[in-house]
Amino acid sequence: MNDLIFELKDIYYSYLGKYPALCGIDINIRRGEKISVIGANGSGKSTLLHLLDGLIFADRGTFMAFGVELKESLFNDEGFSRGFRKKVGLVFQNPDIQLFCPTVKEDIVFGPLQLGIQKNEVNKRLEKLINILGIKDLLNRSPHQLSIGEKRKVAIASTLIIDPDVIILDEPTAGLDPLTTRHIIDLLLEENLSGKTIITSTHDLHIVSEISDIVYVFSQDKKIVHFGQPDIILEDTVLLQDHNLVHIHSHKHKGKTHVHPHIHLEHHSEHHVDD
Amino acid sequence: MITRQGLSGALLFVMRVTTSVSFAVLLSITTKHFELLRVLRIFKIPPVFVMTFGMCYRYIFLFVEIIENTYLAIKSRVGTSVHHKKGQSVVAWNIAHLWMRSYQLNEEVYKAMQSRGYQGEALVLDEFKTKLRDWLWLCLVLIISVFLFLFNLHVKV
Repeated sequence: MNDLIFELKDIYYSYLGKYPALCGIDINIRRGEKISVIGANGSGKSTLLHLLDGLIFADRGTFMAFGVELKESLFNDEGFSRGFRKKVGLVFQNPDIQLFCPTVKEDIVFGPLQLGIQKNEVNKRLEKLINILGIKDLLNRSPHQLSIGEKRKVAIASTLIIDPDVIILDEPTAGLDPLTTRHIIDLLLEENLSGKTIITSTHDLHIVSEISDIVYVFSQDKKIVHFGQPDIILEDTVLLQDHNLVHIHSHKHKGKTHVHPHIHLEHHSEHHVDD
Repeated sequence: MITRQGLSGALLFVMRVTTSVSFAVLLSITTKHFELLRVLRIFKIPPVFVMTFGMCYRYIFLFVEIIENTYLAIKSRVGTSVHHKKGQSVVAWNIAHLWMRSYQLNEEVYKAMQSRGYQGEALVLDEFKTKLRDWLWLCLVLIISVFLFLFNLHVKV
């Protein structure tokens, strides 16, 4: 577990050179770890994930990936680019962006074909994935005909088929029903058990403890304000409240008005702080 | 002055255009769009063209959805009647918004392609195999074409 794969030191990134998105980020990620990134909207989570996938590059700071300092010029080398893309896969926040082919099947096989994986191997992986995710019936359909849950499953399949060592997911369970959320979490846990590193950004606090060994909390000023084990982070109500991850909830109960922080974690274990 | 020859020439032109358009429409409503795209690949149309065409088709639906939702949002807030001046400004704003959205989408989709290894040339799983019924159908079409050609030689309009 001491095998460092991503090492970010004092990373700064801004859009168009004037809108800061990451300010002084330090993260170390080891092989086989489960990492979660939580924070309010616009706190820089998606930007961080795009940076980890080598799609954007830091204005300042050092980003070491698999022992090499990652720079844009390295991706001009076809061999390096292919090697990196085979190792790291990203599931985008918006599946409509990730699914750009005319059919679901073409979308799923797009990645491995570009990366030079043999066609019979691609077909073998496709067969396995569609059975695991239960999307066999969707193969010849167009992505625009799918529901949000189906789109997310297809987007995940299109990344998993590459069989990357590191799977990065940008809010994979946003807007999904509980059963589909459960399927996706189980799939991620299974991938992690087989040795893959899982990095997830999410707002769904109820999945955080399951999908994380370490949780990073992002603040509105695009910095990491806290990191640690999920149980410690999730118990720190003040920290979560300060970063828009819980809200104050008021309700009437037995003729009395109760006000308490509302964490979307385990509703039955909520305690009233102000009876 | 309308002559018999001119009239028959115009009629022939209109009928030919109608027949061609009818066949094009018939083909597009009876064949799935991804199969038509596959056929373009078989006819050696450059893959980047076929891919761009496929993506245009794919994202038209997303834009239609955006337009529909915008229309519904307007309807839910102002009812069915909008003053024509306000209507013009809403339409103009929507055109601008769609343009910006498509520009953003272009950048984001390219990132998604890069993330999965795209390096300028799209490779596809080529699975098209001709079956006996395809050859039989092709023979039938050829026979009908030859028959029509010969028929045409003997008929003067």
